[in-house]
Amino acid sequence: MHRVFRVSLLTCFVGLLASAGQVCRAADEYSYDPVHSSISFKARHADVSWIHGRFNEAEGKFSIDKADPTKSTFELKIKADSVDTGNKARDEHLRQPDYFDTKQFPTIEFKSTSTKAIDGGYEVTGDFKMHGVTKKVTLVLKGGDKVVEFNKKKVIGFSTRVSVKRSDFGFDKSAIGVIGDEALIDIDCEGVR
Amino acid sequence: MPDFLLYAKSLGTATLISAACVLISVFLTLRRSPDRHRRVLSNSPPVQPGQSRGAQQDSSRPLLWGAAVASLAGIWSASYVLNWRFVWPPANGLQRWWELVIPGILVAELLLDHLSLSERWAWAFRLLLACVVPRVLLAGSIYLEDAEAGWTTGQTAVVIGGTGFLLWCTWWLLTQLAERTRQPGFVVGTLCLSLGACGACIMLAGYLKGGLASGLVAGTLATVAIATHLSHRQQPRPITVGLGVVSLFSTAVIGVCFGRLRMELAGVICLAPLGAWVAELRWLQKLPGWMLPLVRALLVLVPLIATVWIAKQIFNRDLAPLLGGGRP
Repeated sequence: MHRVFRVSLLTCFVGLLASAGQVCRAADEYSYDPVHSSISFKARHADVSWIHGRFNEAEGKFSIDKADPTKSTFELKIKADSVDTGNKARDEHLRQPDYFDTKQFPTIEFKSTSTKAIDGGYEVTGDFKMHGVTKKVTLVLKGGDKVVEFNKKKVIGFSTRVSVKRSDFGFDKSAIGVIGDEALIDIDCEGVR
Repeated sequence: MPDFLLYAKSLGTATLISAACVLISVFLTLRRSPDRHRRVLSNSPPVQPGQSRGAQQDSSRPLLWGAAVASLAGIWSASYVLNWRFVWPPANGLQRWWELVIPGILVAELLLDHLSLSERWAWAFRLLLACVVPRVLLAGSIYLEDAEAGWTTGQTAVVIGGTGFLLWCTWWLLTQLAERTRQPGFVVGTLCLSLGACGACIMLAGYLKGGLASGLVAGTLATVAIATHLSHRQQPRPITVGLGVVSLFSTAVIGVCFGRLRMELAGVICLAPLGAWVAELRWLQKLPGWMLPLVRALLVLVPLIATVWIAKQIFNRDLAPLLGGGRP
């Protein structure tokens, strides 16, 4: 009887430990879903209209800690070579050193350094690296409040818009020309786990 | 959009500064030793019987130093006018060319002159330099750093070694040609024209800054060659030929690897100055004295004009439509 009690106690202890591990798991890790995500940009053309483009290839990961949002992290790596403005000749031109210089700087990267929860999402500050220049950028991520299960996978989504000045990132000022210095980047991404 | 007024200003600045540096070197030489400058101006032959190599070098050293400082000052002052700031460490091919390769070649030539190495050792050292140049230009690029999209070790060795060897061969052949021809500035002139043509082709392929940089180096080199000829009646050949040929290959590597310059066009431009060697054939040497320089110039100019024309046709086909409503 005594032995049964001891075995039961140990089993309970192990069970408690296991459930505590579940509760204490740091964060939910998601990987960037390239199929259901989009990274697009637009810049003023001759100050009369907008030119639109997108990056077709990216990868990334983010971990969401609901209990302590400050521990959430976000990383995104965009392949600059995948720039697509709907015009092949222009895309080739944009890959050259006067613009993205994709042979020298193949990726555009964002890595968070601090996160805080805000109403409807997160405010994420991090290092934004483009054209070999790294600057601190703050993104307001909308979403993340809802996790849906689809095909036995958990899916979460975020949207953000960030404005960057190309001249801040070492783009040639003489090549900025009729395309505005400021570019708006829209990121709508889904993460799966 | 290309700002041609700014480009003209930068070229003008490079010309003025480099010419001023050459004049200062003349002034300093005169102040230190008027005899030495007189000896230089007397246009003495390269090797005087009974004259030691050291004495000969002693007379040409101020000229080399003046040309080196003038080249560097001209190029860097032009970049200042263009608002191309000195970035350390250099981040792209163009910055590595301007901040590492050009000063490196000038320092190496001054060092070779100072050490008084034999010709064989000097050319062995230049072979090493020639192989280092493409490696420096491509540092940090996807060709060398990216495991998936980059080159394998074998490909890297072939590309860098092959380019370096070709550069060295062209360097050696042009130096030999400069010593053979009786036109003192001919080889430097062909190098300036080739640099200009290379710059035009890179610009037409869509890389404005790269093409402009090439044109500025050509302008500075031409100024240094003319100014030293007028002031010293001599050419600082190791500086002008060395800087010219290394810059030509550097722009070609940058244009092909980072821009959209076609490799075949780059190859023709780099080898075009060697066309002048054809005029050294015995049966062509029998031509009248006035005709030989003309043949020599045509042998270089025709391929250069042809490559620029082809680059313009490619521009008309690919990039000109984008200019309909403005640059992309």
